[in-house]
Amino acid sequence: MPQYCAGGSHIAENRRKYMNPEYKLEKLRDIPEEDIVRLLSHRAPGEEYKSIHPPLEEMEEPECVVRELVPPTEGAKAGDRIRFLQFTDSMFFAPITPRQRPWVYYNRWRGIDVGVLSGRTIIECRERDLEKIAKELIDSELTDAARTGIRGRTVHGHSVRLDEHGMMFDALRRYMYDESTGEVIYVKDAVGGPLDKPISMGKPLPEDELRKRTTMYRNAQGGVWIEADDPEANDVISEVHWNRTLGGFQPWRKREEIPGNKDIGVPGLKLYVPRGGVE
Amino acid sequence: MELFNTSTPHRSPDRQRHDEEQRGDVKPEIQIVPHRLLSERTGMRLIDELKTVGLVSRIGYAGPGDMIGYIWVEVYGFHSGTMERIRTICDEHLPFGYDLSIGRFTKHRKTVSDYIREDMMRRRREGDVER
Repeated sequence: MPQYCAGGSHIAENRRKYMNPEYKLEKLRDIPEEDIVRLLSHRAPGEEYKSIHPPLEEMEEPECVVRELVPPTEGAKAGDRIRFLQFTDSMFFAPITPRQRPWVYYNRWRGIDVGVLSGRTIIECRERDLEKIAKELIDSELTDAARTGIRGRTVHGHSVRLDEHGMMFDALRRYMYDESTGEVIYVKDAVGGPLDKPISMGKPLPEDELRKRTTMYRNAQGGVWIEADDPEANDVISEVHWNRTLGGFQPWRKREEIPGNKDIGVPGLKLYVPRGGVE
Repeated sequence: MELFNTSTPHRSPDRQRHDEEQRGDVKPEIQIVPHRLLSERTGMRLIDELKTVGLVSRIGYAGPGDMIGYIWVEVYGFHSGTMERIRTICDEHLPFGYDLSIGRFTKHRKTVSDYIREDMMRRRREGDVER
């Protein structure tokens, strides 16, 4: 069993779980493939995939060991275009955080390019691979209807206060909360174009369920405080930080050889912030 | 009120007079920051109820789009039950939590840019605009 992530709290356990490719992500909803295509808005449903090069079988490839060793993905084989999908994760206990998304992605899929920013994560790959990944991600427990946004542009909102129903702010109002059914409904696609038929994402998870599933340490609103509640995870992070910034990316050097303050990590740490945080 | 006395000994006589004129109506405010953004309907319901509290002079609010994120309750002063009444009303309408603070949060007198804007408007009205 590889050591994906340190820590003894359920947050660390969730991180390890999601990063482990052998763990099958729990399916929370079933969005039809056609709706995923409409949501991505890269092509119309039923439309053929556009290609940027002929299928690999018809092409003459240069002699290369790596090309022989690594089988191409479906999309690469067919010569699909590169398309993208972007998620915004709310700071308020979204099921996963932007920094952990690439950890999960790279452990699970091939032929992808992930970009991480403070509130959003973009994934780029061949079109038909993307649709498969999108279906898997949107159906799984990594997506919550209210705290995760499928946003191709105007992604702002991850740190904004939630609205009354616990929905993340969206300037383009791609989704709305249906008060009669309690479900979240997408009325616009990822880039803000109108959908001819709205797509229901199902009910958002309740608050306590979100706190159980999240991979977020947060000393506020009932979250897990990393320094106080999971010192092991915090120690590993400070160790990595210390070796990296002061050790200068030299993993072969012994810890004692690195000059500076050795007294790091939680044991000597004074916690000034009260439990629950200051807001 | 001493709390809001912002004048310094280095003001011109004109400015001092102006300060004194304006200081007369500076009233304290109670800022309500709900932990979630309120829809207009809930926000207005809360504000309507806050208006029934004694000693409240007026209520302002702001937020992104048509949502309400901040509410400022201006009061003439504090009665023994003022804060309790406001807390009770907030508890009822904001089950997800809120922060209360007392101070002055909105503009209570003209600023330099207000004077400049006023002057610009006047000159534009009189057709005396330098280009």
